[in-house]
Amino acid sequence: MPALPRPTLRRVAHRIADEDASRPLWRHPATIAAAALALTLGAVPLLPDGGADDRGEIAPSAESTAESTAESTAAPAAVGSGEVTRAMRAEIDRVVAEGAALDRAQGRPALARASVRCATFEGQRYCLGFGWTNQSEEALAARLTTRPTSRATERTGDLDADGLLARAESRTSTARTAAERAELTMAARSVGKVWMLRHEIQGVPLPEGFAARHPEVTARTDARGGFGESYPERSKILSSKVAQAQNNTYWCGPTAMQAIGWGSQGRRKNQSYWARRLGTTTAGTAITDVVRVVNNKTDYDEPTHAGPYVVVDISDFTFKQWYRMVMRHVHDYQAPVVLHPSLLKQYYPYLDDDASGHFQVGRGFDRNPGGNPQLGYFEPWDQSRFDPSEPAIGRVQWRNAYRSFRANLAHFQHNIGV
Amino acid sequence: MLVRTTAGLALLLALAGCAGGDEPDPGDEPGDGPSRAATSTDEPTTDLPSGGTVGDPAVAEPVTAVLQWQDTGVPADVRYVKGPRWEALADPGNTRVDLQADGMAASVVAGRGRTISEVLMSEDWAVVVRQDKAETAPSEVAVVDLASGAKGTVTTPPAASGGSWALTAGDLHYPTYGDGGAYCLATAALADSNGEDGWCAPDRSGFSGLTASEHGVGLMTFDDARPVACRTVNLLDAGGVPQPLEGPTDCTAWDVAATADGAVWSEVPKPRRQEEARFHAAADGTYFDLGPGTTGTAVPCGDSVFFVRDPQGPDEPARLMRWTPERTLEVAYESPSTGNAFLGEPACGGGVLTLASYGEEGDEHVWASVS
Repeated sequence: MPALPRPTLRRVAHRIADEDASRPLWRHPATIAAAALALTLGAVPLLPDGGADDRGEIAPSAESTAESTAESTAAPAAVGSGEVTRAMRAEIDRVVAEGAALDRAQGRPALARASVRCATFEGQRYCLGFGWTNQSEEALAARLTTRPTSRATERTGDLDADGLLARAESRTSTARTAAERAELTMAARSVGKVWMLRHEIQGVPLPEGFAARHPEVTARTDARGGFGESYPERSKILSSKVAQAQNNTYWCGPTAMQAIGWGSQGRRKNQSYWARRLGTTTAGTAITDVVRVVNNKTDYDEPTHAGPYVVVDISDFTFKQWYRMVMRHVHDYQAPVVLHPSLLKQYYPYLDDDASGHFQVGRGFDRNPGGNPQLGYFEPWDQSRFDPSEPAIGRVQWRNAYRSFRANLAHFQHNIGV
Repeated sequence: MLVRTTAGLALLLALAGCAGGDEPDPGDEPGDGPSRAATSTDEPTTDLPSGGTVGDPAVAEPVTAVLQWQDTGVPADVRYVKGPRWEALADPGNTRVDLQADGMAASVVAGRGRTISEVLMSEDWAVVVRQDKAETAPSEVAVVDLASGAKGTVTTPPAASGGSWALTAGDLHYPTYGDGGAYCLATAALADSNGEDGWCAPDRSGFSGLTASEHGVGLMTFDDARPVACRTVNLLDAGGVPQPLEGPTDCTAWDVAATADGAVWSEVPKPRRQEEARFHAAADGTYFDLGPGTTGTAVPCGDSVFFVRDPQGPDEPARLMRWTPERTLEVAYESPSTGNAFLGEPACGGGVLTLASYGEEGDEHVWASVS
């Protein structure tokens, strides 16, 4: 894979006044809402991640250093990014062009159908906003239209169906085209990894000629095939110090990204920094943006770790497959997982209220042979910062992994960033 | 004001035991504490098993006594509460709740900008809480008299948005904001629509985990310690003031529910395993170790207190545990799935339990009468 240019270090001089500042314990929601509005006005524009990203290419950031986390080890090489073929470019052009339908879409069902558009790259389907999936466009559009927008009142910062549709509707044609082309290009370059993931995790046979077409990934085909039994009983990455509480009710994405970026770069950047890179608004953050920023601002996307991160629909995964994916990431790739659960009390029984879709950072597993498999993760949501009905709990947690799998499945997008 | 001042002093005393304490070490075992339950006033009944001391509680070995569970016919992830006669069913989006019994029906719609956040039921009343999605306006409380199906509201004191709620017989306990924005516990007598605020959490503290039964009202109070709050479990005294339970290790408690002769509580010994609790019971000044359970799942129902236990091994089911007035620990439910399985928080409606069960072999949503 050719070495891609790395943009120069960009420093954000502006620092939002209350970022990372200590806060009073009980904050009234009205205060939070007012602050949210003010911050949104200043931070909504989607900032470019760097020169390469501006061109729709995937490039590690200059801020991706060779520093590794204190707990990381020399992981086996993972997969790299592939080339965008002529056929892929044509497919990208087709899907982007179909976005013009959004300008004419009237009503939620029409908007959903126009916004969920899928490209097929080498037999794998990528759908805008949802990631790699085996679901049809119609099925995904139905998730936007027929599923309840939110069972929960409490919102932690994941972009829900309403937010996705509002964003699709509000973008100018130029902005939409640029964003979709970048998203699809990133996807196209990751198709080798997706095939490998389907092969290794789900047992899907590789297509004829795959090795020749994807030298960036085939060097790894026999690296580890006996998932589960060949893994240690437990493994974890990332220092606990990177687990912070989100400073705004809608900043679970930036806070998860803060932990991931901190783990990669070895130094902390403010949540507002990550909010700008993610394009976070008061409506929240999209998982496709989290994956984009992981790829552009950390070294976890490099072949020494996980290769390019992708958003994968896990609705056809079994729990065992889902857990294997976590183990592979944590132990083999020494790279975190972007967890995307629905934060409901039935899955997180210590919560006082149901909450929205959410982001967490998956960073460990404990196969716990005498009990049930455990998942280690960082929890950005600290309800006690915003509500006097919940005590503070630790940001570093371990739990019954099956609960997290079901919480992931309960999310209307059913996807994860790996 | 006198009530609040007294309550404040009481809680300060309770929290003083936590002040300055470090985050509990994940490996710490529960330490010794006071030797009797604060709420236990009756003499021990001689024909009941006696527990041990706080430091050496008697281990309650569970026996299987599965209830007669019946399928609700409702998906596990849909809010549903069954009572002796009535049942309440929310739509998947929590925009409305339909209540029905033989020949009677009532509906509560969340309304624009609101969602259904709580559905509570006793033998005589149903309560549906409509929460402001923006969490700026007070929650609205709709009540249904289950004798007549007539609907009403609870408007005073206004309910805080969110928080913990509990209903027993005709008394509704819920959070409200008092003078100066204090977070207070309100009680409403539904029969006469008479609500009043009572005890208020002192500054820089709060409460949650309300449970209520004929034996009393339990709640967890906590301070603003970081990274983990210092938590104390309490039962309300006759004056409506929380009295800390004697027995729990300082700062580690979570669940609490009153029983006829004491209380059931849980402790979270490892802050990084927030969902893994150890349950205990106090009974007439003696103590029982009820074993592992899931944080936040203790529910009084009928004559017993129930809590959820995750599978304890790859071949073990998730279980619903029952602490009975006879001081026995029973397995009231076992999930069809083993290993990868868990149970939702049980809901009690006038002596009827509703339970959602999740697992690899399939989910189920069931109900059973406790008594």
